[in-house]
Amino acid sequence: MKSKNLVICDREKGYADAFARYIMQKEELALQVQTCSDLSHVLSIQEQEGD
Amino acid sequence: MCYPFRNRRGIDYLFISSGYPPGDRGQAEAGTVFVLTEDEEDTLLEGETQVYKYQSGDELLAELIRKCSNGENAENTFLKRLRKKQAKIIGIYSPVHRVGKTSYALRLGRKLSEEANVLYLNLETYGGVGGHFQEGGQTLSDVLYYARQEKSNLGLMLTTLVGHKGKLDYIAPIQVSEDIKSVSGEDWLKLIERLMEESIYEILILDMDEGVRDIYQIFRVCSEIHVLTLRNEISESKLRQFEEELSLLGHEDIRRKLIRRESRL
Repeated sequence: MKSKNLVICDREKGYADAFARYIMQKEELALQVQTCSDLSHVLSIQEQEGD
Repeated sequence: MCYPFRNRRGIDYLFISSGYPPGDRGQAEAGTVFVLTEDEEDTLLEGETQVYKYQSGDELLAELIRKCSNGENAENTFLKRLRKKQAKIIGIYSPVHRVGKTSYALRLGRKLSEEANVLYLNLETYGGVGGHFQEGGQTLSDVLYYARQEKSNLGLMLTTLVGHKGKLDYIAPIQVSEDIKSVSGEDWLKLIERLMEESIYEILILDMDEGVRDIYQIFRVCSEIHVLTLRNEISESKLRQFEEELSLLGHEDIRRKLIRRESRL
């Protein structure tokens, strides 16, 4: 099964990273997590995933 | 409603701070958008879901699961498909008190968790506040609540309910003794059945005492029952009484599952 992707975007980088670490430790979840602190990064992830 | 497949190759789930103005957020396309807010006054765009930013990771994940678990395929959406190599239910019990039963059960669980997905459940009347288990958070009461709901995604919700001791996952005990006494054997069996069918766990460890109602029904579904004892006459006499009672009540099948273990105490 293909993993779903989940993006956390927050200017508070420490918050986004901590939330991502929490989700990634749940190994049974089929989620790929990425973080960013800039909205333009979300848009580029969006484009990459859409390729 | 959750749309995990709306953007077939885009972002499925986006958690984004309310610090980004709605106009900017609107440029981001994702199947489901959660806005991380610090107060209730934030303006939301259509289709966005507000979640309080500073709640625990468990609660945030539960928000995602609840939002996206309306469909029957929710577990297929989130959970990795794991082929279980085995399915085993191990009961831990002793008619002798203060014998180190819970310590033994946790040691066994940690050892088995090196090779398999193991879940430890404490069904004792007084499992302890703190002690072996982290204080606060969700308990076996919450797991029973989800198990009683036919349409709940128990396997998925478990990911937000379990605690961890190394690779061993555990569910914290019920905090009110009267609550655990009120759980019927039928409820226990339903919980066990759903855990085995819907979760990732291959081995369940049930740490029990005589406060569990209809305990023989639970013994019956166990693959093996480890019975802790001490090497002294009084402990031996209690264990003998337990074994003889099983025979007297016609539970020879349960008696055959007993595995004696001497306590390290």
